[in-house]
Order: sequence, then C-alpha cells, then structure tokens
Amino acid sequence: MTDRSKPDITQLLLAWRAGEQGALDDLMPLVLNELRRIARNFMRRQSPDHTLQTTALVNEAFLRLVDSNRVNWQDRNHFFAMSARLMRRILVDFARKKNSLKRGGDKVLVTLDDRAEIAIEKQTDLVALDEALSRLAAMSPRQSQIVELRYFAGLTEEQIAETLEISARTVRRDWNMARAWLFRELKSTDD
Amino acid sequence: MSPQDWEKVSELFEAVEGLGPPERAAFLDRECGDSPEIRREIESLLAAHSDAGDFINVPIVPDLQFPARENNANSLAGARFGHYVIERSIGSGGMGDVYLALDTRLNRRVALKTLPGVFARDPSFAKRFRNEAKAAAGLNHPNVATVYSVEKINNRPVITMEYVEGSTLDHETPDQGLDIVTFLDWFTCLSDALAHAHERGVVHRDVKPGNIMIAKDGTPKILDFGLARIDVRAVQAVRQSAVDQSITQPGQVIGTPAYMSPEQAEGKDIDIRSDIFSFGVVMYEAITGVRPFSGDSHAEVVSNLLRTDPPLVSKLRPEIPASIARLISRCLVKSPRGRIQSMDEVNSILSEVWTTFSRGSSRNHSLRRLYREFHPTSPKWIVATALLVIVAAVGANYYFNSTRATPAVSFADLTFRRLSQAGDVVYAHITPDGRSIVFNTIEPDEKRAMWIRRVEDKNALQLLPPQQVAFWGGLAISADGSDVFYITADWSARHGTLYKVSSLGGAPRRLVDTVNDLGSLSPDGERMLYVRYGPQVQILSAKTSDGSDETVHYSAAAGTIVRDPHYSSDGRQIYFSKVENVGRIEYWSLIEVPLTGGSERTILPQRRERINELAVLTGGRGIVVNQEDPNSRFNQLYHVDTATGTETRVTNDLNSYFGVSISSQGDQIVTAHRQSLNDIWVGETGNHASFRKVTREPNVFEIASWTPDGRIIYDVLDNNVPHIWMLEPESGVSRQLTPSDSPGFGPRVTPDGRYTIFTSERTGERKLWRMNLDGSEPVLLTNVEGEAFSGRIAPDGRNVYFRWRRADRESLGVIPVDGGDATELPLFGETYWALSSDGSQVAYVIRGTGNEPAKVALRRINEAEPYRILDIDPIHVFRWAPGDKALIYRLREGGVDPFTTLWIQDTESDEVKMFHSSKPNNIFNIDLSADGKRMAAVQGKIVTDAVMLSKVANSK
Repeated sequence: MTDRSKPDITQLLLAWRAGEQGALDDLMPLVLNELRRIARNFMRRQSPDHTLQTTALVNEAFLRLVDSNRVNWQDRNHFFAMSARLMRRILVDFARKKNSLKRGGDKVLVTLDDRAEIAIEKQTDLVALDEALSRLAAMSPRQSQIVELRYFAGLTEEQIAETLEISARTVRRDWNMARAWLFRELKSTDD
Repeated sequence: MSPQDWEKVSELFEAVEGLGPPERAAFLDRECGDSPEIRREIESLLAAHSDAGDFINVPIVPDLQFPARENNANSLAGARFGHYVIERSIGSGGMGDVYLALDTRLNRRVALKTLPGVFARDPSFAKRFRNEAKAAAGLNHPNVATVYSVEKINNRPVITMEYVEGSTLDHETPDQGLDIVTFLDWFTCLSDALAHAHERGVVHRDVKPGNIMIAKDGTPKILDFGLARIDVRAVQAVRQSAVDQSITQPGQVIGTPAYMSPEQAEGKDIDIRSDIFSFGVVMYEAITGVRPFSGDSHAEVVSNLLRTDPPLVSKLRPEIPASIARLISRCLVKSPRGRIQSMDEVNSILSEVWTTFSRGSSRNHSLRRLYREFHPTSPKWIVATALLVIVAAVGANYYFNSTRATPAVSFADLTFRRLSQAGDVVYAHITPDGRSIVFNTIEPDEKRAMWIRRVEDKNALQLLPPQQVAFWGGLAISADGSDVFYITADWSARHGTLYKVSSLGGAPRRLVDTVNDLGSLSPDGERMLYVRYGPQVQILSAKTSDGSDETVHYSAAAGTIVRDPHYSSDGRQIYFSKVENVGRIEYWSLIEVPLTGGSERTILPQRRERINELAVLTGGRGIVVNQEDPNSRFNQLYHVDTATGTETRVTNDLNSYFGVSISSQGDQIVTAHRQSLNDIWVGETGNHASFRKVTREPNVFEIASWTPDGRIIYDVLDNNVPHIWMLEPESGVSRQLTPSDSPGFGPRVTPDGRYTIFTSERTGERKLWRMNLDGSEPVLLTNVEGEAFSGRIAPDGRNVYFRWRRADRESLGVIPVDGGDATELPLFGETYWALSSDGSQVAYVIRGTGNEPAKVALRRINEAEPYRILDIDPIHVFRWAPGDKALIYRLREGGVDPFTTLWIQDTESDEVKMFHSSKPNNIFNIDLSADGKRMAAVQGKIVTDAVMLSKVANSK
C-alpha cells in the first residue's frame, strides 16, 4: 500500500513552483493539516531538546510531505514561504475568532489542533497586523513576505535571504522598513 | 503610495537610518527637496522605528507557550466545565489555577484545580500523576483537605479537592506569633495529619503556611497533599516546551525557598524528613512571627537555609515551653539524619505539651472509664448509662418534637455553643457569674485533671494536674467563683473525699471524708450539701470553710439512692432526685424536703426515666433538671416549676447531656454534651480485617442500608438535623437525598431497590415516608393516627413493619410498601425483634425485670408462645444471619469487648462465635448486601465536650 499523500504534495509543490496558482489552493489544506499534526507531535514529545519552533515544525512537515528526491532546495524554500503564509493564516484566523478577547486580554488562546492549545503573548494585534501586511504587500510584496517569514515562520535573516534569493542585507533593510511602517499603521489603528 | 515611491522611501530610509539627527535633516533636505510627501513619510517612519521597541521582533511562534495559567481567571466564572460550574477563581498554586466550583452531580462545592494540557498528552506522566493524586486521595484525615477526584475535562487534567472556607495560616498568624494554646491546638492537629500521610507513604513536599488553611470553625487543614511534585513537573514540562529559554534557569527553585528543606533546595531526593524540616520552619514562624530563613533574594534565602542556624525560639519568645523550642530546633537540623525522624514523634511531643500546658488530648477513652465517674455508687448505673449513650444511635425514634406549654421561665431561643473540641470532658460547670467554666478532662493513662477558663478565652488554667482518681458527683462553685468544690475517689473506692480548691490554683483543701455525691452550696455560701451512703443513706451539710459542723438533713434506708441535693434559692428547702425500686424496677422522682426537717414533698412523681442532676435557678424560678427523655432515651434538660411540678423542655434534640449548671442570672447553662462520631465501614462479611471506612465525615447517624446495586443509603446527623444520603462505597462519593427543609432518618431499602422507607417529622409528627432511591417522589406512607417510626421492611419486600404509638397503646403496624391501610399487630417484645428471611419465625427481646438481664425468645410466627429462650441480652445489632439458622447480635455488657464485638449464635446448638470486631470503634449497626458477601457497619466513637446554652438577646 502506498502513501498517496506524498506524491500528491510533491506534485502540487512542483506545479506551484511551475506557476500553477491552482496548485497552491490544493496544497495549502494538505500542508495545513500536516502542520497541525506535527505541532501536536512536537508537544507530545516533551524532550528538552525539542522545542516548538515553526522552523523545525515546517522542516519536519516538508520532510514528511515532500518526496525529497524529486525536489531541490528551492522547492524547500518555496515550501517554507508557503508554510509561513499558512502559519499566518492559521494564527490570524484564530486571532480573529478570539477577537472579543483581543483588546482587553493580553493573551489569546489559539488552537492549532484540538489537542494542542497554544497561548500567544498577544503583544500584537494579529488581525490588524494581517490587514496591514496585505496593504504592505500592495507596495512591496517582498517586504510583506519577509515579515511573514520572520514573524510567522520564525526564519532567521539568513534563511529568509536563502529562501527569497536576496541578500541578507536586503532582508535587514526591508525588515526595518516594514517593521517601522507596520508599527505606525497598527498604532494609528489603535488610536 | 506606489511601489515605486515605496522603493524610493525604502532606499532613503535605509540610508538615513544610520545617520545621527543633524546629518539626517541635511540628508533629507538634499534627497527629498522636491518631494515633501516622501520626506514626511521617511520622518514618520524614522519616528515609528525609534518607537517600535521590540514590535514583532520576536517571531510569534517561538512565543507560543502552553497555557500555564488561564489568560483571565475571572472570565471562567459561571462557565460550565464538564459537570462543574466555575463560581470564581480562588487563587493559583503551582502551575494550576484554582477555582471554587460547584459539582453539579453531587451538588457540593469543590476546589477545582486545573493543570496544563501538557499532562493529558504524556501518557507516562498522566499515569504518574494519577498515582500520586490517588495516594493523596487516599488520605482521610480531618486535618487534610480531601482530594475528591482526578479527572480529565475537555482534555484538561483536573483535580478536585475539598473546599475549605477560611484563610491561610500566614493570614492567621499575628506579627508576634500565635498564642501558645492556639499554636498547640493547630499544630497538634497538623502534625497528626502529616503523620497520617507519611504512614501512607505520601510526602507533602510543599509544607508552607500558604498550604495550611484555618477553616472558619478553627480547624486547620493541610491543602495540596502530594500535589507539589505534580506542580514541579508541570513547571518543568512547560518550561521545556517553551522556546524562550530565558524563563528557564536550570536548577531554578520553584516557589519560595523559605520553607524548603536544605536537601530540597539543593535538588536532592527528598523523603518525609523534608516535610519535617518544612514543618519546623512553619512552626518557627507561627510561634515567633519571624521566618527562620529569610533574605532579599531567593539565592540569599537558600544560602541562609544551607548555612545558618536561626535564633532559638526560646530567645524570641522565652515564655514558650522549652520542649516546644527544642522540638522546633530538632526539626530544623540541616542533615536529614540528625533531624527528628518521624512526624509521629513531632505529634506526640506536641500532644504531650498540649496536655500538660493546656488541655487534655486523649480521645480514645473507653466508655467504661467515663461512666464510672458519673455513677460511682451503683455498678448497674454504669451499664445503664452506657446503654443510653449507645442507644443514641438505636433510639432514633425521636427528633425535635413540637414544644408544649410555655414555661414560667423562658428558655426559648437558646443558642448552642461548643466550648471545647477535644472530646475529653467529664464535667463542665459554669461559675455563677457566668464568666468562667470549670471542667474535668480525661488525660492519658486514664488520669483526670481539672481546669478553669474564661468562657471567651481558649486558655485554660490547670487547677488540678492529671491524677489517677475519679471525680464524682459533679462540681460546686462558690457564688463569687473563688472556690471550686469536688469529690475525688480511687477507682475501686466505696467512698470519696470532698475538697475545695481556689479557682486561682494552689493546693486543694480536704474538707470531708466518706462522701458519695456532691450537691450545691447554700445561697449564703456558708454550707455545702453532700450525700453519704452508709448504714443509711444521708443528705448532709457542712461548712464550706473547713468541712466542720456536719448536719444531717435527710435519711433513708440503705439501698435507696439519692442524687445531687440542692438548696432552694431561699435556702430553706432541699431538692434532690430519689430512686426507689418497685419490684425490681427503678422509679425516679424529684423530692423537696425542708432544711429544718419535716415531711418530704414530691415535685416530680415516680417515673422510669432517670433524673440525673439538678441546677436551681435564683429567685424561686424553679429547677433545671437533666433527665432521660422517655422517647429518645437521651439525657435532655427540662425546667421544673417546683410549685406545680410542671415540667417543660429546655432542650429537645438528639444530643445527650451530662450534668447541668446554670449562671445565677439564669441565662447561661453549661453542660457536657456527648455525641457519637460514626462512620460507615464496608468489608467482606466475616473478615473484619477487610473493613475500611467509606464515609468522609463521622456524621453518620444510625442506619446504613444496601441498595441492590451496591450503593448505601444512610442517615447523617448534620447540626442535629437528620438527613438521608446516598453513598457509593467504592468512590466514597455521597450526596444528600432529602431536601434541606425535609429531614429524615432510619432509611431502609426495599429488596427490589424501588424505594427507601424512612422516618420523618416533616409533618410535625413522626411518620414513615417512602421515596425513590434518588430522593424523588417522597410519599407519606403511614397516614395513620399517632406516631409511626422504626420502619422495617418485611422479608417478602411487600410490607413495612413499624412501631405505632398512639395515646393509649403501642403496637406493631404493618402497611404495604405501595401504600394502603395499616394493620395493627401486637408488639414483638418491647425492644428488638427480627424476622427470619423466610418470614416463618421471629426472634425478639423479652425485657428482664429489675436487675435481671433481658433474654431472647424465638417464636414461630403462627404460634402464640416462644419455642425457645436464649440467654442473650442484645443491643443495637440484632438480626438473623443469612440462612435463618443463627442470630447476629451485640451484647449490652459483659464478655469480651461488648461494645466492639458482634457475635453469631447458632439457634439450635447455641454455639457462639465472633462475627465481627469493630475495635477500637463501637459498633452500632450493620447491613448485609443482598448476596450476604458484603457488610456495611456503622461504627464510631463517643466524644464529650463542654457546651453552653445561652439566651440570645430577648427576641420580643
């Protein structure tokens, strides 16, 4: 019996990289499920050297989902980028659901999975950030993506540089810029 | 902004960001001279950049944490959580938050502690957690907050515990430390609780004032038993799961180290001796108000803990007994090996000091010991009185009768207040000024001591040290409260000696030899009344100053018994109770004789009920007598109008009172209150080692009855109000079936498990009621004239037998379980009877006359005469063994351990074997499960405490 999910995902990933936008729509739910499942496993393991980091989580999702013989490192980076977007979507969705708590409480309960509850230090209004990021993407898709990769997927500057095939310096510059702009945007929505 | 403009802004922003403010302005002037919009944008972004702090700098996901604490505790208020409704947050301990919650299944309030979801996901942890919580749940001690359950709700592990209303020890400790009596009261209990846990292998691990609650009634309770380890694991697990390592410092001490043992602070393995150290720290702080190891930081505290010895307790509070100071030092030895080794030892030292310093602590007195003192002159009284008390559980026929005539002196609206807690009181008398009480206690090794204390003050002064004597005849106290008169006697003596002792202490003065009972002092305080049994029975008086000038006031033939002679309020008469035998039956009366001699007058005519003691009200307002209640057989208090002989109840409850004393104002009565503390024990029939206690509070009244599915319906005495409860013996979970405004007692379950039949006075008169096993559909079963009580279900399960008392006669009633008309039958004997399971024969008790013991008759149901008489005098437990070939019973007296043993006797061969032993508890009732394999037993102890009945402000 063959595991049918692997070729599917790899195929979708390859198709997406090849420019098939529809492939992303098919791919996302599969990756989403896998991210949730892996998050759950991470939590179950509880060994001191395993901490719940999105990078590791996404890495593992990639290894599980994608047939590594058929994809290259760029595919992996695509996968990271996609996962960052997924994380953003997951987290913002939950933040939106919990919106009633948002302004008053300092934490938001987010459920990645029905068995894994995660509390987010809610220093940031995720819904507003998400909206601002979308506006930012209209001016600079790259800056928006850098924020996504760094803030939602936990990638380092070097990993982002590798993923986006840009210099680390550009990553830093864009990050500083985007962060200042987002901060101002969020501050103005708060007022 | 267009992407192009944005790109420009981004470039300039990067360039300008690295410049200092003066250069920035010049740079922007140069670069954006033609584009003020871009310049404004850049300046705005620069400002945002410098304000942004750590905004989104830390990736969101590494910030993810398990919800160690709920985000907002109060937001859960009113929330349903499984079958619990959260009422409010009551704090957080360790990793969990604690809520006050209502258990809707059992309708009781619990402290509900949530633990992080982490535990639900680690199977090995979950198992350990369960085991530890189970060990904690196995602790059953009045000073331990009981762990009720460990369960998973919405995948969150949850512990529910007894909810203790009160405040923690740290809040109860004044700055200068506790007074010694409170300290001893609390820490004797607490050390007993820890000893109990240690005996069961449960180490607390987090003994600290914050884990000790002082309940509203003053009972100290230790919380969170055995849960500390779970908390520590929780913290570790959560920290391991968190990315931000800055919150996890290896070896970090969780909570305050101020109460930790050195080995615990060093992270070594710990055992019970760690608890002993922590207990020492808590004791030190409680008595001195100062923490032995302190510091500005945790590190400093730990350093002090490991290296320094605190100042001696005796330096801080020199008045503390040296043995206490020494005990605390022995607990605080740094090396576990050098420390005092067991909590038992700590407890026994505290108990000892408690005994010598303040109050007696012996709780395991035997009945026999107690009764000898009350009734020193007649051995049969010993038995008779003992019976009365045991009957407390049997009687049950009685509950708050409606009051009758209005008394000349109103004792309405009396408040009942317990003045002692140790359960070891013999006599308790109030001083005439109403301010102090004098009482005798049972001390270890059967010794007796005497104490005085202010009503409002727990501190008691020891008037007489523990000694190997018996106190006879109560106490008499001079009007100004300065002298206390009493009689002591050797255990086997025929007579005792009358003494007086100053209420300030000092050596007692011997006044009169060869006395048997003590009465009252004359209104002027010059003389005292007492009784002497000799060739004649005499009531005499002598001078209170030195015992001289002995005068005889009354004489009767030897064999007569007179009790408790009291002067009338004008000093011209003497009142006393008197026993005369008619045939061999005792009849009691209340008599008045003039002091100057003359014929006696009967105030209360002869009756079977004992008139135990008297107290005379001032101003001719009559007498308060302690008299046996004809219904319940409990000793109750009555007011007697001496002119008319009208008797009015003062008390009307299910307590038994011993002795009576009254303040000269007549508004405060002090007496000794005796009660049974009963539990239900369940085990394999015939294997008494297998029995274990299944109730959590010793408030079982008298009856435990199995349901066909292995639950137990029983009655509980809650603040003197009986209610019917249902218990699941496996879990110990119980709930009340009768609504709080509709009490009931004596429940019996029908064999088909449809109903329970019980007695209730909810209509004002004792009647039999029926309800479903869940408490629903209560129905008045005996809609008959007169009282119906002591319901017993017939072996066929279709009818209920009951005792039917009408004004003119008493008979046995039979009524169908499903309702209908009652049929009247003659009684099967006067007291106990039992039908065989096939319904073919009855065993019943024939009361003996006078001193003759009762016997048991066996009679076939369709024959008029017994076919066999057995020489057994049973009390309380009396039933056929399964198979109808033997009787199971408890003896009234005699034999080995009569109060704690059940016997089984073959009705043909008369062979007797022991059936059950409840040692050291007394046994009051049993019920066998349908298959006979399991037995539920009501077992308990009797405790006596001083109580005060006083009038609240006039309600008019």
